[in-house]
Amino acid sequence: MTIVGIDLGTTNSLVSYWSDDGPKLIPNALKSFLTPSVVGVDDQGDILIGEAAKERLITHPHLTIADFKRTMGSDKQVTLGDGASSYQFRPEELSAFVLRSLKADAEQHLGEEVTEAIISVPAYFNDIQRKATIDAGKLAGLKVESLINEPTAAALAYGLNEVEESQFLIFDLGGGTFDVSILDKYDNVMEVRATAGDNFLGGNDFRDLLVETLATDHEFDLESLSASDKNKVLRLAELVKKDLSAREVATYSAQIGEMKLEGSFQRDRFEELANSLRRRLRVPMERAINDATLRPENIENVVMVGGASRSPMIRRMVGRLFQKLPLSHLNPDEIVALGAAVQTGLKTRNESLEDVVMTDVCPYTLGTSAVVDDNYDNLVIVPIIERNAVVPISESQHFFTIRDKQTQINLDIYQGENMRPEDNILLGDLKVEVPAAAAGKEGVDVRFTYDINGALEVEVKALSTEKVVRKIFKNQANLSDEELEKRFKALSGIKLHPREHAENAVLIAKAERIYAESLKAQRDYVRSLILDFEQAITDQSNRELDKVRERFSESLETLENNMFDMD
Amino acid sequence: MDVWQRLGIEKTDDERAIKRAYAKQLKITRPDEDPKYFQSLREARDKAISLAKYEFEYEWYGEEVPSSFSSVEKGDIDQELTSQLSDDPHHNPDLETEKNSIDTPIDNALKLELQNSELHSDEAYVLTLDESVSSPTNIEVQSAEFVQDRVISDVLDGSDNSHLVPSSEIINIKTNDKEFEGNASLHFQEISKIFAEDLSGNDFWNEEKWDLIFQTMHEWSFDQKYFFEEKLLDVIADHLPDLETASEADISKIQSVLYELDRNFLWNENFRKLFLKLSDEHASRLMKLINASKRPEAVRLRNNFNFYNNFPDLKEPEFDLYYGRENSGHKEYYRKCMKAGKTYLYIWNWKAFIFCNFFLAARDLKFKRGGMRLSNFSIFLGILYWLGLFLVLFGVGSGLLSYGWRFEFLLPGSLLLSLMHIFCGLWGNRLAVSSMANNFNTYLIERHSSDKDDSQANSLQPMRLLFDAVGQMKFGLSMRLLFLSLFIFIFTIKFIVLMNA
Repeated sequence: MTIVGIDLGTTNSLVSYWSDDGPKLIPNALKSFLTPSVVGVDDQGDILIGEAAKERLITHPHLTIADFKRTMGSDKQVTLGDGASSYQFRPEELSAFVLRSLKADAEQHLGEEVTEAIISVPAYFNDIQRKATIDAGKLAGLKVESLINEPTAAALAYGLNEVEESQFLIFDLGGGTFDVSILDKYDNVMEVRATAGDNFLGGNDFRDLLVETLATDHEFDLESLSASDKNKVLRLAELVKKDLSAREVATYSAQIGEMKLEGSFQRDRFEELANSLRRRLRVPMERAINDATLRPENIENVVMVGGASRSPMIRRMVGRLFQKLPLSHLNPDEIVALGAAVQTGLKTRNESLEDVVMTDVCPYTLGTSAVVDDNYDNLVIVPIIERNAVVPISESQHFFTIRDKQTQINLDIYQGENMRPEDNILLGDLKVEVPAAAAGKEGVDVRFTYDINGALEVEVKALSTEKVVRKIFKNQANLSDEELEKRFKALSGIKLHPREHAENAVLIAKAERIYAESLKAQRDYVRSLILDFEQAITDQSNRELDKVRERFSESLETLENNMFDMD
Repeated sequence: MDVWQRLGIEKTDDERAIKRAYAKQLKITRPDEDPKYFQSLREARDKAISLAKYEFEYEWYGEEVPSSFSSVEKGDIDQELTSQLSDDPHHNPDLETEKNSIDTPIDNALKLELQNSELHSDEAYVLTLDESVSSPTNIEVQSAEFVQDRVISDVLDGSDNSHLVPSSEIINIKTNDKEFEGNASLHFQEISKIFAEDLSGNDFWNEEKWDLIFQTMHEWSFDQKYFFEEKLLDVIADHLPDLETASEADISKIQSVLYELDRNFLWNENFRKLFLKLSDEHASRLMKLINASKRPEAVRLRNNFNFYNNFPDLKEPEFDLYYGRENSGHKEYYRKCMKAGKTYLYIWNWKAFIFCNFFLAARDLKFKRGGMRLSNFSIFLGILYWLGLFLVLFGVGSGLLSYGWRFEFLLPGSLLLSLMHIFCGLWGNRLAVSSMANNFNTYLIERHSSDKDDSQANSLQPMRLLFDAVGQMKFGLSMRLLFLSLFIFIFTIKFIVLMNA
């Protein structure tokens, strides 16, 4: 029974496993390692996942959704479809679809059933977001005993073979999240020293910046566009952004709805616009270096992870900050999944990894609210586990009653760095009874235990009565167990688009998108291509079908290259 | 079991050895197998490392300029980087000595790589719209990306491929990074210049100048930034306004600057750094100013500004660190009282102790030469005692404590008074009380003789007897009992009041 490692990313997801030769990625039905994290509903009411769904973002915007990783941990629901076959999904369920598809790919590749996985999460995900990820795994039929932080996974993949002894920093800029981790490798011990990040900063923010600028330059209002047009603008911005990585000036010309957007974009201008975003990137780096009590020159290597870290603007910034060339000779898209595979090998104590030990840290301070120092009017946070403490860890603190004849002590458990409780995240609360007495005479001993999988257990003991209340608590924002069961049943009933026909589905979806983007003569041409292809699927034998598919695909490529006239 | 036993090694200064021992233990018992053991192992390692390096747990930035940027050693960096490249078969040692207008080590490294790569011929970096193409792994290409950034844009001729610049044109690389023009060590000279010119004298807190500095600060490398911080801390002490005498306007003027500084350098978190570099007084003043600037609407700077309420970080063991002394006995009791919120209980014990002492001291005063000739002086001294006693211990002490001062600040005063006690005890005894009693007795007698009203004299009878007793030096048990009972009475009342507060 192989445990698989899964990188559940904002833009793309991957699945991998540990073999004796090292970590290996598993291809999906389209022979690609990357599966876009996009979920959609097709015309038959089946769920589409991945590349096929991604193509439909423009043609069927009400039936498709992407970038839902940022909403994990909230209960924001998304409606796909209308009328009879409309679905309402929570972010956990959307992620669960992606996981299901990856699970099917893994089972196909490994030839056995897959029931357990280790999923990667941004290091800076809070407790609620992590629970949501585990729930997503459950909804997909996967047991997720532990999560791994994305920069730690990258460090494992990078550090396993590349370094003997080194202190290095992982700079992980993905589509939607940014993480920084500082690690120390010595004697086959991989130790995370500190971790910091920004859960709302990623490549997509740079893209959105371009979108705003385009809107101002060409004087249109983004909100007034149709959903399809909006997605087209996003796609244009994405292409311009990527083009600016390669050249100083990107020229574009696209027809979006009624408008023709034409022009050129200077890289200098983009960099200036992105100033505030770049500053935001510095903050977690400085915090991580600070927490690790290192000087910047102690950091021997900086490893760039995540698609957005390819941008030369970002790389130059990092290089300048650390006065060294950042490393990215491992594919930044794949490195996290490879690291997750290494973690599965470590977990099962595979012989080839027997000597390696990894320790991680908890990214947020955990504490409870209390009054301190006679200031009875002000509630502040009393930290019990400081951030970047190595896990597993267990710490305790004493608290006392503040009023006479108090019979109950309420403990609100918070996660966050701010002094005032309202600026932090409430994870849950506990109530403990104490015998009535004068203020300050009765107290409790509160023990926080953070285990290696990131689960928090709180144990409260009344000092005088020695009564203990223990809780591994759930937050209201997450699903309760019964709800989880219910939704699992509901989701299992929903059919996924058949895997064998994935390639065809992608091509047809792509062609439909190009059809939507073209006009007049080109449109007719595309339509005839699509109809021919669909005919071929029903008529011909398999071998012929491959050739036809290839030709179809090539034609689409050529059409696409002439579409967004970018050069 | 001490830390060295836990790690299984001898006491050592070698951090590496400590880490190695920790790694060895870690492989025997994994963290998930025995979390408690792991935690104690890790704490042992952290303590051992801090013992090996410093007296306290944290490492922070030292006082020298980071050596990687001193101009003397810059040549070494170039050497280091070029020698790293010597593994590259294309490396051409003749190019090592080439210098041009861009001198930073990174640029040198990149130029060398590029000149020696094959890319300046026909290979090119091709952009396709197929988003799944992974980036080239060749490090030469990656360094080409860097150089490309600096290439003058007319190289790009609008075709599909972007050609790279042939080596001869690299000489005139243009860059828009103003900070990196010229010599690396110049940047530090520039930073020093900022302090010498822009921020000198009365203009230190000029907001416009600081805005400019903050804007450029975002582009600096970490080393430059920390060099700036070191220089700043060297001079900032002279420019901090005195909290007592400064006006609100003065203070609010510098608040926004301090807020930005704190955001950039995280001084509020790294206050230990401040206390290392500055004097205690300046460091605490700086901390107060920073915290005032965070919540300007809530805080009013006054003398009763409570240090600890605003730095909840400053509890044990940081408390001991700050004062630099071990004091576990009172620390425990202090902590208990703090937790229970009854600091008065603790203070009262001290007060009671000193109170008692002074009464007995006053009683024991004696001048070598007794008699009335020195009585005025002795009266003066006695009054001083009583005044001092009441004012310091009861009046001001309670007042300050209710404002939130901690007893530590009163302790020196109390100690001083105790010293005076010993001093006067050496002088003599029976001075103040006996002389006063004599005088008052005399006064009473005189009054009694001048006043024909018998009833008044009668009402003063008990007092006279009292002071007669005093005057007769039958102080002993009566006085002690009297004052002791008085003290217990007051103490109990106060205690009961506090307990029910």
